[in-house]
This record gives sequence, C-alpha cells and structure tokens, in this order.
Amino acid sequence: MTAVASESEATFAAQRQAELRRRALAPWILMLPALLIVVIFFGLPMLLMARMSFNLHIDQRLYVPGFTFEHYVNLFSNPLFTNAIWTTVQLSVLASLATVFIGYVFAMLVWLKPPRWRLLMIGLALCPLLISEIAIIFGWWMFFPKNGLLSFALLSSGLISDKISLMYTEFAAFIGLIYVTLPFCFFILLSIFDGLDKRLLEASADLGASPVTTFREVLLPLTWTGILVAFSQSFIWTIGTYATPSALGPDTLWTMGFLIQEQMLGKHNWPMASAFAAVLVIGVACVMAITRSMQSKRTAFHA
Amino acid sequence: MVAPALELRNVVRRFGSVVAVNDVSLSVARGEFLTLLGPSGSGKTSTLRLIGGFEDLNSGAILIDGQRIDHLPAYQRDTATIFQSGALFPHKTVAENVAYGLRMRKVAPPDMERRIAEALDVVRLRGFEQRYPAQLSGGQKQRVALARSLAVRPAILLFDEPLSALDLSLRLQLRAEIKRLHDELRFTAIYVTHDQGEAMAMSSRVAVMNSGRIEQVDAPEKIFHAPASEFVYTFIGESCCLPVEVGPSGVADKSGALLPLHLGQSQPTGKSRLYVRPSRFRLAAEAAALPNRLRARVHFIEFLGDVYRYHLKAGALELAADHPGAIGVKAGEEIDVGWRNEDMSVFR
Amino acid sequence: MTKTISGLPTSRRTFLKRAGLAVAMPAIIGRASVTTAKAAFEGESLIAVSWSGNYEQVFRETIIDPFNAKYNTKAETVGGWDQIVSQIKAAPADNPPFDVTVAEEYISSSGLAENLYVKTDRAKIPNLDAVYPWFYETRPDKAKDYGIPFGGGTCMLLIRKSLGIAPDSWGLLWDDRLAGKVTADSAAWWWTLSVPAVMDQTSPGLDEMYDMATAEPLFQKLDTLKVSKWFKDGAEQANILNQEEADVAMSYSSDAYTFLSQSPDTYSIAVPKEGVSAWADWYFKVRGTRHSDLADLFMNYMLEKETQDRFLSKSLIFMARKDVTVPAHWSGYPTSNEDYHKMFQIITMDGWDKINANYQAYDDRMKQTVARTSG
Repeated sequence: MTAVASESEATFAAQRQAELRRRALAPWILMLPALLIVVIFFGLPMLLMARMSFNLHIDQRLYVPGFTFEHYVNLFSNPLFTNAIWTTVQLSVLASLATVFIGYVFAMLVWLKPPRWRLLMIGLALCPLLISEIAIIFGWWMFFPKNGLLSFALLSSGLISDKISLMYTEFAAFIGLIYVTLPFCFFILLSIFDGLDKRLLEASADLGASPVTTFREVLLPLTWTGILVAFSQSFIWTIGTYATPSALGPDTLWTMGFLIQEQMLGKHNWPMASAFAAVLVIGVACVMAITRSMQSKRTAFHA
Repeated sequence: MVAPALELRNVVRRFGSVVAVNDVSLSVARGEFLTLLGPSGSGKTSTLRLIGGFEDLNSGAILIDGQRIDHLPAYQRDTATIFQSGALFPHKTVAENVAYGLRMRKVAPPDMERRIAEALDVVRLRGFEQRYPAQLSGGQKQRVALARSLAVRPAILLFDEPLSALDLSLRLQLRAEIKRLHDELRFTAIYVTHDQGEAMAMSSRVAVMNSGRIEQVDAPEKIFHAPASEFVYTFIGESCCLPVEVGPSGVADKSGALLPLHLGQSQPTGKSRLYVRPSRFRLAAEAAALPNRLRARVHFIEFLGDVYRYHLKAGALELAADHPGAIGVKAGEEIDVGWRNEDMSVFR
Repeated sequence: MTKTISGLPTSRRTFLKRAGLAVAMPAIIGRASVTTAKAAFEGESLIAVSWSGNYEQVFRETIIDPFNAKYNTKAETVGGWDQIVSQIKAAPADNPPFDVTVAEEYISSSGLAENLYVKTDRAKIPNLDAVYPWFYETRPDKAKDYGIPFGGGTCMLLIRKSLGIAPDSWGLLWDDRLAGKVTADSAAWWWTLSVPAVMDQTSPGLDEMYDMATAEPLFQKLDTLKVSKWFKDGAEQANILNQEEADVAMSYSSDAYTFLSQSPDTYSIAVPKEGVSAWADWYFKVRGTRHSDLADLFMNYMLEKETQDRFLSKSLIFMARKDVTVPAHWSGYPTSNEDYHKMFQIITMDGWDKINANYQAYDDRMKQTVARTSG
C-alpha cells in the first residue's frame, strides 16, 4: 500500500516538475518565431554589413575580403561625408520635431473631436501610406515648381504677384520628409491619446487650471512617452529616406542615405557603403537610447 | 436676504434637436445636499456639467452666491467635481493629486501641506500620500477624488455618479462616508445619481428629473410619500399600477370586464391608474377591514427573504403584494387583497 | 554552323525536369539547331537587362516582342543601370537574377573585374561579322572576348526651340543668353566632365579626363557653368525641362529621343560640331545563366539587320551593324568605321581603370563643382 502510494506520489512530483519546466519554456517557445525573424532578417544582415565595412576596395571589384579601418577613416576625414552626416542629422531632427508637432496637434484634434470626424481624419492620415514614395515625389514635382500648383494657388489668391518656385530648396525636402513620416507619428500619438480619459482635462480645469496649465501639467506628461516614441520613429524614417530629400532638395543636399546608395551602386564600393550604413545604424541606435532614457522614470503609474 | 449658494434660472441646454436641459430652475441653500435623480437621459448629468462649466448653456442663468458664473470657463468657477471615473491624474501621486487644486489656487506651501493632510485625514487615506492611483482600489480612488475636491474648499461640490462604478458593499460604505462628511463639514453639494437609494439616504432634498425637466424638488420623505407626478411615483420605489375604468355599474379593467374591486372612496367615471406600493397591500383576513378590497387569484409566490411576494391576477390586472410570512395560500387559489386610502395614488 | 549538342548542362536538365515542361522532349532532340530553334526553345524564359526609360521600352518593342513571336520563347527585359553589377554579385553564382545584361564601358569594366560575364563563342553569333570594327578597336584586349556590341549612346545637346538658338556647339552651355538655364548630370558626372574634354581639341579623345591633374582644368571649366539645377536621373531632367527651370541641357541619346518624339516643337537636339562623348552598349551573357544557348540565339538575333533597323528607327543611338537603314530623324548618322572614330569619343575601359583608382577624388571634386555652381 505505502509503496504504491509513494510511487504514485513520485510520479505526481515528476509530472509537476515537467509541467513547471513546460511553463518556464512556454514564453521562449512563443517568442521563437519573432526571435527567428529578428535574427535572420535583421541580425544577420547587420552582422554581414558590419563585416563588409572592413573589407578592402581595390581596382574595379565591388569588394575584396580583408580587414581595414580605411573606410571608417575616410568617412570621418572626408568633409563631404562629415558634412553629410551633420546635414542629415540636422534635417532629420528638424523634420522629426516638426512632424511630431504637427502629428501631435492632429492626433489631439482627432481625439477631442466627436467620433464622426474621426474616420475622415484617419482616412486622411492613411493617404500618404497608400502611395509609393516615388509617386509622392512626382506629386511634389507638380506642386512646388514655378509652374506648379502651389505657385498657381498663391498667385490666384493674390498672396504673391510673381510665380515662385520652392522646388529644390531645403524647405521642399523638409516638407517632403514631414509628409512621408507624418502618418506614422500620427498613429503612434493617436493610440496614446486614445488611452487617456478625457475627463482628466475636465478634472484639471475643474480644479482651477487654465488650458495652458492643463496641457503642461496633465496632457504633456501623459503623452510624453508617445512623443518620444513618435520622435524616434520619425527620426529613423527621415534619416533613412534618401529619395525624397534628394529629389526635392537643392543640388548640394547630400544626405547619408543618398551617399550610401551612391557608394553602393554608383561607385561599386560596398565596404565604404557598409561603413557609412554602420555609422547610420549606430547613430539611430544612439538616438533611440537617448529618447528611451528620456522616457518618464515614473512608469510606476502604468503598473 | 442671503442669496442661495446656487441658483439656476430657466436653464436650457440643447444638443442638436435634443433638449437635454429644458427650462430648469433650481435654488440650493448653503450647506444643502441636493440630489439630481433621474433615469439616464433625463438631463441630470447635463445640468451638473452646466454648473461645472463643462457645457455651455443655450439660455438662462447660473448664479453662485448671487453672482452669475455661466459666462466663466470651468477653471474660473468655484466648483469642484467628483467624477464617475475618479479622473485622478495617473502620473501624480495621491498627495500630488490632492495638491493640484491648491497649487492652482496658489496656496502657500506650509498651508498646502496642512490642507493635504486634512483632506486625506477626512477620507481616511493618511499614509497613502506617495501611492499612484494605479496602486489604489476603486473605493480608495474615489476617496482620493473626494479629498482632492474637498481640499480646495469649493463653494459647491459636484458629484457625478461617483459611486456607480463600484460594487454594492463598497457603494453602501462610501455612501455612508459621504453622508458623514456632509454632516461634519456642511458643504453645499449637488449629487447626480440614478440610484434612488443613494438619493434617499444622503440628500437634504431630491430633484427628480425627467426628459430635461425637474418634476419635483422636495425632501426625500415628501418625494416618496407625496410624489407630485405619476413619473415621480413610479420612479421612486416599487409600485403596482392598476389601470381601471370607473363606470356606472362598477369598476372594470381595460378589457371592459367588471372587477371584484371595492373602492373606499368614489372615483370619477372614466379611465384612471391606481398605484399602490407592494408593501402596503394587506392579504386575506388583514384585508377584510380595509376600505379598498380586491378578490384576486394567486399567480405565483416568490420568497424574497424579509417577505413573501404574492403575484396576483384579477381580470387583466396584475399586482404584487408583500407579506411578512406565509399565509397558506397556493398558486391558483383566490385571496382577498386590501389597502388603505392613503396608500393609494390615483392618476388619470 | 549548324551543330548538334549531345548533352545538356545538368542545371538545365534539372530545371526542365523541375519545371515539368511538356515541351522538354522536342527541346532535347532539336537543341541548338537554329533552323529548328522555334521548337527547341519553345516556352523557355530569358531575362535581359536593358537601360531604363525609353531605351528599355524600345528594346522591348523592337527586340523582345518580335523575338518571342519568332521563337515562342518567354524572353523579357528589365530596366537596369548602376545596380546591375551589384545585383549579379549579390546573387548565387549559379542563379543570376538575369541571363543577359547591357553594359557600357564602366559596367563592362567592373563586371569583368568581378568575373561576372561569360566569353562569347563567335561561332554561335554569326552576325558579329557585320559589326563595325570600331567597337573592338576601342576596347582593350582583355575585354574583346566577352559579349557582343549592339550599338551605343551619346551625350547630345538640347536647347529649347523657342529661343532660336541652334544646338551646334557645346560652348552654348556657357553662353550668356542661356546663363542660369543650364542643366546637366551630377550623378553620372563623368559624362558632364567629358563635355569640356570633347571641346578641348588639343589632346586626343578624352585622355585628359583620366588623370586628376589634367582633369582639374576641365572641372574648373565646369565651375563656370551657370546651372539652374543639376539632375540625377532622366526623370528629374525631364521635370526640370518641363517646368522650364532650364532651357539647355546635356542629354543622353535615349532621353533625347523621348524629347524629340514627344515634344518635337519644344526642343532642338543635335550632335554639336565638336563631336560627342559616347559609350558603346555591349550585351554580356551572365555567368551561371541557365539559358546559355537561348542567350546566344538572342544575342545573334540582336545583331540581325532587321532587328538593328527596327531599333534604330525608334532611337537616336548608333548601331553596331554596318548596313543599317538610317531613319530620317537621325541626321548625320556615321557611315563608316572612320566616321565612328571621328564622331564618338568614348570613356575607354582603360580610362575607367584610371578614373576608378581615384574615384573618390573625382567625386569630391565634382561635388565642389556642384556646390560652386548652384544657387
């Protein structure tokens, strides 16, 4: 009797153990597909790219296996490249700030407005995502030049007396970038706003806070994380987008993305392109780290 | 003459073609606890939001202490609201939440500390200062909301169904606590609820609202015992409605069949609706001496704990009568049911 | 000339088996006999890269479609330009993304350096006999065994017709009347750099381009251009001209043909008297192709007189064959090997070797020019 009992107890214990192990393993098994995708489609190419950046570039070949820091040295000694880094970062930061600002106002309006406006506004925000970047560029080409829509509109509204062209200006590149990234910003921020109780604004006003104070004290802190996420998202897009600034900006607007593609395709210099891309990736990672560290330490209130 | 703490004069609020608040006038004395009671869509919450400044009125006037305030934005009104959701700032601690209104009123720091402590004392939440709202239970959140509003010592406290999101026992507990606080602090309160129990238990006066209008404003007892309208009668407490038609040959139900009904007071001929509360019916032998009597058949019997509820039918009439004990009558059998004249309300 | 091949490459056989083609049997029996090729290659696919834009379209209309009609094949063409070499290099060695590719001297050069092309079996491409020797005379020996010459393109001068200025000299790019109305290529800057080299009659060909020291005066000449906007591709050039941001352009022959055919009244386009810089379009069989025999057939077809005539009738390029029929829109078409030497100055593969050795310096210098000449 006792022997049987202890035996079944042992089996039970073993089953329990197995069950606990299974439970410990479950999250890993569930994460596996995502992990595989991340490793295969992002990790490996990144490693290959890093390796490529140290290869040699001699004669007409795309690359020659080897090990050199030459490309990194070139990158930081050639003013063309250093200027491009500076220009690109500047443009991306400014465009991202503007995008976040516009996206924030837009998302806030959608959040505050009655639901009947919502679908229309969301539909509007989706539009840029439905069109390819190239098609959007062609659109701007109809919009910005001297004989374009903008000039025509301003002229016929009497705001200007002579045709103007904003084509091939930093401003056009700036607007182009904002347009490309705005939907992403908007949807990130809208999802943050949708998580907020609108009564908080009333509660704040009720306790004597003016709208400006309510914004500073309530809305801004509660959407701060969204702002940072939207900013880094926008920054990643703007810093990586090369067709738009190159097609809309002035001749001398050489962005990192443009130079990478030039090195890769035009000059057949894969190591140089990789080194440049590696710097871009590291730069983006830094910005991500910075924005993450700026996120509210008081995440406890989400607990 | 002292101006009332709050006065509404012919207030109208329309949403599109819907008149949410229809010509409402109301006067609330200092220290009064007035409840706006009504079903959803009756305009009670809209009225409260008009007072708080979250909605603009279309016409009429709102006065606090004799001063018109309806042109002021919410943040310039001396009111404080306890919202149904609590609406605590999730990124601020309990202490910071309570301090918020004081900061907006530029209360000096030492004074502020004292008032935060007082407010938290009053709602029995000392020791919770550093917690975030997410770390509190539903009842605790509402008490913080209460403390936050009390701390600013507003002219009027506005309660927007603050207990409706809580479960029953917590609701009863907090209801008693708010009542106690009002007895202690004598603040002026406008309390919106659709729960008549809450309204009866807490209020000095109850305003029953229906379709954007106030049907009756009175002490709870008056509302209960002397409803001014059929709506108030049916909305407050349980009632049985007996639709009858008084004719020359007797009292008939709606199908025209004569009823075995004897009324103590003669009623004018024509259709009318007689209302009696289930607790006021007397059955069997107890009914015999009463002026109003009806012979009815027992349909079914429910045991409700304190009482048995006898569901009765007589012709097309259906009624429910409560009796404290079983009386040995089964379903299908006939029984006498009676009631006093003062327990019956007649509307036509 | 007609030769039977006894065996098939394994890869093809497995491919056919895998594809489960019903046509496999006749294909195996009648293989490579050109006379029975219609049956032999039925249903087989072939991907050829041609330049993008108008060139690609004409290539499809005048070569691919008639070829498919004739042989019942499934040949197709895709556009390509600067990414051709990278794409082949990035793909597995036995499964290239395309079977035949176009290449001018730069892509020829870098493709050969990477060993991406297959040697030509002249016996399979009899039409090579009808080609101008100029194509081989302007190539280094190391490259002569690879690919076939098909034709070539040039840099032409385009001027807005309404200005009434005939595009007869490259010097017009510096003309005061056209100041601030110039557009030229800043991406394939070597063609822009070739313009002052063509104008400079003191040294033969484009030799002065190949050394940074002798190229510097050419860059300085470009520094004095009054540019409205540089273009980076054909679409941008078209937009700049359509929007009237520029009135005079250095334009590539295939783009030029588009302007000429679509807006004949808007632009005048010509080969200026100094001659033009040019490139030769060679077509290479890509290493690892699974359609080697069909590629040979296709390349020979490209050199048929009818094919060359068809293509020429819809373009402004020059063809490889000596006996083409010149269309009316091509005034001054060269008629002899000497004419080719006189008219077309190519950036030679040897020249490319020198430029490439110093590529970044050229590129940096060109970007200075762009910076100095823009707004």
